[in-house]
Amino acid sequence: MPFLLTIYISLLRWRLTLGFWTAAPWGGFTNFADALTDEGFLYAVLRTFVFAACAVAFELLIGFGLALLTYRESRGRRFYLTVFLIPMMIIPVVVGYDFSMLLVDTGPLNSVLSVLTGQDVRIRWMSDYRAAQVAVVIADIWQWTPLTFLIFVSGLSALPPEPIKAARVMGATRWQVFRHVQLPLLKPVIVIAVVIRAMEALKIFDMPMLLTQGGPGNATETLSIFLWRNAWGFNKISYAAAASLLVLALFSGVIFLSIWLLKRERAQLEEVRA
Amino acid sequence: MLKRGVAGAIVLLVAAVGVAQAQTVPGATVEERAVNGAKAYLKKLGVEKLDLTMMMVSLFAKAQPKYLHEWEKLTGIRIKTIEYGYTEIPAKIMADAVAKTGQYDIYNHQMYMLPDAVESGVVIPLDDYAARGKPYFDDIPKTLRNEMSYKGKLYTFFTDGDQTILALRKDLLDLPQARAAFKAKFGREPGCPDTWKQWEELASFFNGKKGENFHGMTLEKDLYGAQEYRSREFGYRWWQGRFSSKNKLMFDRTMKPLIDGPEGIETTREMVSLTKYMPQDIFGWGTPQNYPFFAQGNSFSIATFPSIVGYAQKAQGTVVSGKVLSCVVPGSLVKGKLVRRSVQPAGTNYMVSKYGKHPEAAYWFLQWFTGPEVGNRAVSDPDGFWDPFRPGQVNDQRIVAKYGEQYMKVTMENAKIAVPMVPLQGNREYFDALDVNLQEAFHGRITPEDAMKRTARQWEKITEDIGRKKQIEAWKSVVQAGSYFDAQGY
Repeated sequence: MPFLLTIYISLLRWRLTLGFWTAAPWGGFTNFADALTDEGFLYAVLRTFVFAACAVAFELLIGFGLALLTYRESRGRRFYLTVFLIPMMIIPVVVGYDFSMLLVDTGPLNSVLSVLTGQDVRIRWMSDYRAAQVAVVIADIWQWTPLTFLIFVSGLSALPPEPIKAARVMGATRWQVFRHVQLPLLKPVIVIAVVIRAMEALKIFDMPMLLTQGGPGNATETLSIFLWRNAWGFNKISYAAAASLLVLALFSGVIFLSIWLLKRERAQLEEVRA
Repeated sequence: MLKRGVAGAIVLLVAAVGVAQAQTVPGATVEERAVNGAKAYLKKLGVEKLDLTMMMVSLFAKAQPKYLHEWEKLTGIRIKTIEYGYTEIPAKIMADAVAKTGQYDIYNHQMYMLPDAVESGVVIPLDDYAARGKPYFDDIPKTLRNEMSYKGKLYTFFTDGDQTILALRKDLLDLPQARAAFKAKFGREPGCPDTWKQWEELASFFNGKKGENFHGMTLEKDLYGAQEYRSREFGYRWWQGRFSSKNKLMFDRTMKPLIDGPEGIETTREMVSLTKYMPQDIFGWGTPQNYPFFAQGNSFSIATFPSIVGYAQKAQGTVVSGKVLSCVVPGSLVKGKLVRRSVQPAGTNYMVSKYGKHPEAAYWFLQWFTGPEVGNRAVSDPDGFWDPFRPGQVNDQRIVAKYGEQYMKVTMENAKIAVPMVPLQGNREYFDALDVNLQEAFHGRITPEDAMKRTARQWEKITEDIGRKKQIEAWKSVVQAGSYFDAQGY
């Protein structure tokens, strides 16, 4: 029902200043046309995808690396697991505020960088176009790498030991075991991690909002912020509904592609097992 | 026959006057009439107590309650508050326009929210109540008074003049060597600037690096020449005041934007140019960062809200207490005449919800709280953020004690020349387009010309989307009311 209502509203020209939506004139597909020719919307789409790609790539790499270091039974493993998972448990609002304090131009991060480089580092993390985009990515990586780490630790721990043992008996090196045995077996897990994180990263709102309010300019204005601004800042509910449906179509494409990849991986895995 | 006619007319006239008098609530002052009006309303309802709810800006959580308690004691009307950050409130009000919950009786926000609130039908006109309560607005400067109305109807009361101000460091201006050197370089004594260009000259002179000998004074820290808002959500507000000083309207009579003309480009260019005398961090700063930076003695000048003066005087860690000179905002030379315009970037206001059960009771509180006596008390409140704007406030010793004589004189001058931020429906969208393009220009990513061209193009689209005819009508009423004085271009 809400979805059908969204479709209907997207075909109106409803601004909140008109009162209730029943008072809004019919607009047909004009909102969709407006969105597709709106630079702000198109850049928000591009920005969000670039952000998601960067953040998810780093989260996968770091999460995977940490998982490889800690998945085997060892002393202190529980401690590592607990510590690595903490960021994920913190409410994003708190993380946002924490990072906004860390990233102040005269704050701890620049101080640490100054000590490390021996120079007075004054990166404007929240007020420079590029730096602000990097800052949002860094904050997201810090908070969500634990999730990919958790997925990979579970995946690595659940791998069947026989193929690995067999490879070692046949004289394979650690790298060869990883490259030709563990990694292929882990592919479905990797796809799951990518899908889960990508879907979340594409919806990001809280971090850029808290750190930069989408600024400077609109350097960190993600799709969610763009839609929120149009709906609740500019009262353009119909326009926001149309834009969100376009986003839904776009995201659906990504989801279907991911599911198709996952199915293909499963099929290949079944073949290997057979 | 003639006698009978005259007698009839007299009878009618007397009757009309009697009716009018019967409609006016008794009371010698604005506040008394408000209290009596509220009591009469309760009597009419047949109750002794009444509960109302106000959606309130969280900034006033400390100061507002004492007045609410006082009002309750006087009338029996208790006003509960639900607090939100001021950035959240517009969405909450607009949501109420759709949901029609009746949860709120009073909305407390800022002046620029009015057009959207009125157009959505969530607030009611107050003219009929005002006709009975006789509030006193005559002493409020005309352009600020205009902001209380939309399309000729009264909708909101306020007791907070947020008209912008320029503050300079008096201790630096008073350095004898600096004065002499400045005069030698620019041919005039340093002090409050008349024009934006003069402010930039001051900023270019009064800055230096830590450890440097600045005209006989060793700088203990870097000194920046100027501070003015350059971050998202702020910079565009100051732009509007500067632009208005070019004596140009933002739209013509067909709602075609005029901001991409020479005046708009020059305004942007001036702002971009001044940025080089500011700390680089300014691009990410709102008020919570700008105020302490100035109070800690890091800069020579700041254009901001008027509360900076009191803040610099009393804030924890301030090193500029007693060293701040308040200035009337600089202006522009238009055809040889100096035009100064401050802008009203906020201005705490109060509106009555259409969906509350007791709009009349809500109205009486508005009249009481913003009246000349209680309003002045609020302005003088050490916990409050209500700033002076009524000329009579220069004679109120409580207010003078809080702000100082020099500041009071200056802020009243700024109140007289205050202009509103685009007082039209959809103004937040107009603001955002300007905001984003200004940001691009401040960061040097596009030229001032491009920034203004893009903004004008987007403004056209917004006008078209809202409805040009509707906007033309609203703009006409703004211009005809003299909200932008004698600005050209209509």
